[in-house]
Amino acid sequence: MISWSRFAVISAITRNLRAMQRSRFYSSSETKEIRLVQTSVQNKRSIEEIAGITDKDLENDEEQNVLAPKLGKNVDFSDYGPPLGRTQTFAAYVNRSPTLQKLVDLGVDLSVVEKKEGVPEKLLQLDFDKHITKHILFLTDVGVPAGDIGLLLTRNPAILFEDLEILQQRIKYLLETLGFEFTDLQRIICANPKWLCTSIDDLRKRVDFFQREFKLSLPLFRKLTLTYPRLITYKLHYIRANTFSIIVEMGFTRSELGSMLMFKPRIWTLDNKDLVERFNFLHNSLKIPHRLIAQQPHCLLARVSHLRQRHFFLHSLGKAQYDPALPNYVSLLALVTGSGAEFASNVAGTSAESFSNFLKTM
Amino acid sequence: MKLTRDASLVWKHLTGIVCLYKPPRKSVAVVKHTIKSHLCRDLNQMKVRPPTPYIMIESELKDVPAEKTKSKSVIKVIPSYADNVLVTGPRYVTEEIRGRMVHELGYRSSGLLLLGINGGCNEVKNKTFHQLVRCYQVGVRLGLETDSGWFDEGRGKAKASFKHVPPHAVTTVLASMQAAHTKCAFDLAGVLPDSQEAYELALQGAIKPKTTGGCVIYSARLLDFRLPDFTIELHTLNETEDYFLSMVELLGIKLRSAATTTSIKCVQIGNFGVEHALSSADWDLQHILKNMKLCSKLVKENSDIVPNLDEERLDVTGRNIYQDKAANN
Repeated sequence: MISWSRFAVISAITRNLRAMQRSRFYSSSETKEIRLVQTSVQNKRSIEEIAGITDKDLENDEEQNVLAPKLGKNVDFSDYGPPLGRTQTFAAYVNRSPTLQKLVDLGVDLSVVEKKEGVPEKLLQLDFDKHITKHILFLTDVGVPAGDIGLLLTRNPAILFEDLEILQQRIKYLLETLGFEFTDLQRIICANPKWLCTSIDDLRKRVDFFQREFKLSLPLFRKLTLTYPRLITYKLHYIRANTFSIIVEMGFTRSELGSMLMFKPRIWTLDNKDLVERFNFLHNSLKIPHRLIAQQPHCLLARVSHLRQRHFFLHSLGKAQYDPALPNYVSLLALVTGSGAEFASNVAGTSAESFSNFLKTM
Repeated sequence: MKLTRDASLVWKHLTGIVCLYKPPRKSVAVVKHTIKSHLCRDLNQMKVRPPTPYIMIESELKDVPAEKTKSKSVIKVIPSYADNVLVTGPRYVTEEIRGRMVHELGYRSSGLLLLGINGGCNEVKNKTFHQLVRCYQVGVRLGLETDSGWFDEGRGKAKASFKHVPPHAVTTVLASMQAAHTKCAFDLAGVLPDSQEAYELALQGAIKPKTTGGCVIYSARLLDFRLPDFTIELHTLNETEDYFLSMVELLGIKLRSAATTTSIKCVQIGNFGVEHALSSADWDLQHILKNMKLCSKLVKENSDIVPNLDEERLDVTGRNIYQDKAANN
């Protein structure tokens, strides 16, 4: 069975002149003409030259007479048909491509992968058994569970285009230079699929950046990475912007920033405007001091609209009390945890229906 | 009532009008998109259409050495990979759900929104829907005037005292505003106030403007008065958030003070009320379907909603939903 990668199709047709002869778009005289052109006109490029057909490919062509019947010979008709043309989705090729079929069986979401820039062209050039299997074995060796490989490849199919030796070097850098344990690799690679596509130089710069910016020793840097691996490959400009906002705009101390970083590093990946808006509501409207926000930074990860809804609901019940020194204290963690229904019953002590009705009065 | 896991069956019934309660600080476009994406999320979690069968004709020769001369073909039928959800994407996508609002609310306004979904878009195109008189509760705060019009947004333009303002002063200003708008209503309806046409229009009820140009206030009254805040209730048509903000500013000037808006809530549209609206905690498939049924009942009960009698409005069973009204008319 011929593997039907898109570019292979075009070269397969031109390579297999027998198939070309039998298809209804070409007559025997035309193919003979092409051959004549090749021998007589040397400086003009023939179709075979353009398609990259060598004499070795033409050796398989035993037949001289195209019109001789093929009955009685072992001929596989099952894949005859018009050639696969250009498309915008993988759906047109997937029924004819074992590679794509096996990726779907693994759980790779091709509808997501086909939209990534540059990926479809490269993916169609790969053969599952020759190329992709090696990468999958590499990933399982590194500790990625078999059930998660599909999700990982959906998020970052570019792993399949990386050289295996280079990937091995990057793993070596993680284990030897940065000092991660082998069991940590699963966490890093599954939580941050793009990690393996960052070069060692880039990674070195980022390690330096985090250690300088946040005064982290290497063990602390490792702890930070394991808490939220996506932070390390995040755009450094956004991280600097959020650090600036936290220190200068919001007025947290360096030690408070450090504790927030180790507890909830995800805060640094928030949109700067959203982060400041959330802090503004908590500190200026609810009068919650810096100390409490630094202790429970989960509150900065909740949307302002949700904070507002829940606060004003508690306020309508007379339960909006956020000072730990006073009775009936509601912690910031309780304010942002759980769905609306859970919040209403556990924290507010009412029903989901009453919360829903309250939202209609805002 | 029927329980089902079949998404395609539910999709057929997902057509009609929904009454939502829009939360403040969310644009109407975002609300519409949220509803659509929640519907898709819930539909895709149900039992969706399986992949279509794909017929493959494979030759047995693949595994057979070249010496053997028998060539047999095997016909295989497998679920098509091209129709697999991992290849095509989710079965239900937001782009395929049609939505159309009856009227729009501003970013910081909250309150009732009527949204037509799928087939409901056609129902909502009906002009009489747009001309259902809407009731707003506008919260006003005296003492400060801002450039945006909202009490907590923008720069302060003016500060003034407000302790001299009694409730009857507000009522007087509102009454004069209402009277002025009654006169304007005739102009916007395109009739002279003294004419026979005007009299006939007035007999039918509120005089509705012909275009969507100027705002008409049919009723303005004071609800709650606790200085520096007070709440007014307005029955309007063709209103916008900006109109209310500038109206409140004018109100402040008329009261010899300065005013800003604290809240704008739409609490009634025709016979649709807050009790019929879906709060943002309940924007999922089950609640929306329930609400559609309720809204269709309210539409039938509302004599102001007159269908375009030339067109048929068919429900899922194929019956003209305005059949009874058509017979009465």
